[in-house]
Amino acid sequence: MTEPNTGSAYELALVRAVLADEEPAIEEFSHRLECVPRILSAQNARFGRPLDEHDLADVVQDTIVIILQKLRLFRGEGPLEGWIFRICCLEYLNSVRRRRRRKPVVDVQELPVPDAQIAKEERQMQDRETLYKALERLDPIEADAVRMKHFEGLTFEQMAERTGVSANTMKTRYYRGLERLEGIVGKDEGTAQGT
Amino acid sequence: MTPDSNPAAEELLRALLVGDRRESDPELVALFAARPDLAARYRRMKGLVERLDSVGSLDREVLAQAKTLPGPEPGAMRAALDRARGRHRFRWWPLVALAALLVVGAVLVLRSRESQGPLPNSGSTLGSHEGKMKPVGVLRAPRYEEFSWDLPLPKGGHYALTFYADESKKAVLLRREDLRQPRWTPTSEERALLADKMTWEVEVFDAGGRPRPSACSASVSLVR
Repeated sequence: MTEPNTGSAYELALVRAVLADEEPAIEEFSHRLECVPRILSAQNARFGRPLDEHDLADVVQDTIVIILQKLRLFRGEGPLEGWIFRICCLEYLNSVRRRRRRKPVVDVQELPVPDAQIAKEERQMQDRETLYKALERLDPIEADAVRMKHFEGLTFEQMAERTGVSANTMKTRYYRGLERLEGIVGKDEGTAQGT
Repeated sequence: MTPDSNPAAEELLRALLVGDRRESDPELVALFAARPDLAARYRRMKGLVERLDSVGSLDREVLAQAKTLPGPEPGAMRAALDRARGRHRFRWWPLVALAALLVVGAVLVLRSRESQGPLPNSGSTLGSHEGKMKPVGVLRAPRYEEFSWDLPLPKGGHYALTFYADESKKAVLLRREDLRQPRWTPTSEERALLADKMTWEVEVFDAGGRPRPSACSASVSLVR
């Protein structure tokens, strides 16, 4: 996969142009979607390949439909591929669940994906969604710092280089973001446990 | 969560979380020993960092693996996108159009049924006088209007009309006698005595007050 231009403003402009049916944007967007079959194949490999090529091709098509349906919700928080990745993970897991429901289980050994792995993936996905949604409620600058640090795995120096501010400023943004994020997540999960 | 009011303590916590200090740093050990609230806050934030790292590293791992996989055939994604755009763009229109057609059709059917009076085959007529009494069956109307029947009246005779609460004819809701015309329209007071679902019966009497065998009855129910 070639590294795309992933500035937030650029990503948002691209998405808006796609939604406005602008041909050059649609062409570019189709190239950006090349990550979809790759991500789904990688997920399928992680799960022990429960889906065959035909199933996977169907999931690719379904995922692209979902991406288009949700495209208006894209806010430019990070690269488009990161946003697409979350949808791919969700759709992949849904398709594995659907396949399990369709196929009657004769022997536990025949289960393409063990229940425990599905449950673990669901927990991870839920955690991912909780964190991503909480990040959306932060100041965008602080949220970016947290995303770059943990989701992109950048050092503070790399973050500084990318944003053009000092590493110390990035540390402060990151720390404030983390502090607020802890408050949001703690409050949400406290509320969820209380209900 | 409230930021600590002590700037020095806050700075130490910040340094620890951005990796400039270690937990084993004596200053931090002393701080956490003296301030269990700060130690608890650190543990919560550390837990959050671990969750973020876990999600981030897993996502990066999958994305890194994805990058090593062969890409789709040239043009394949454009074709998939065009198919999806077609489905996305047009999928709702046929559904909306179909729903609109169904609504229009249902309204037309209802209107036509209302104008025809009772719905065909929707009620039961007791006895062998089907078609001679109106209304029968399910009546889509706000209230009962005229009751009519097609039964010959002997010279000097009269009709008697009885409304029952059910087909067993045990409970009489209303009875009207000495009717000379084969129709009757209830007054508002009489209408109030009628039930939404009931059985009504027409009896025919000759001039001597003797009942004729041509009595008939039918069930009717009102749907508002």
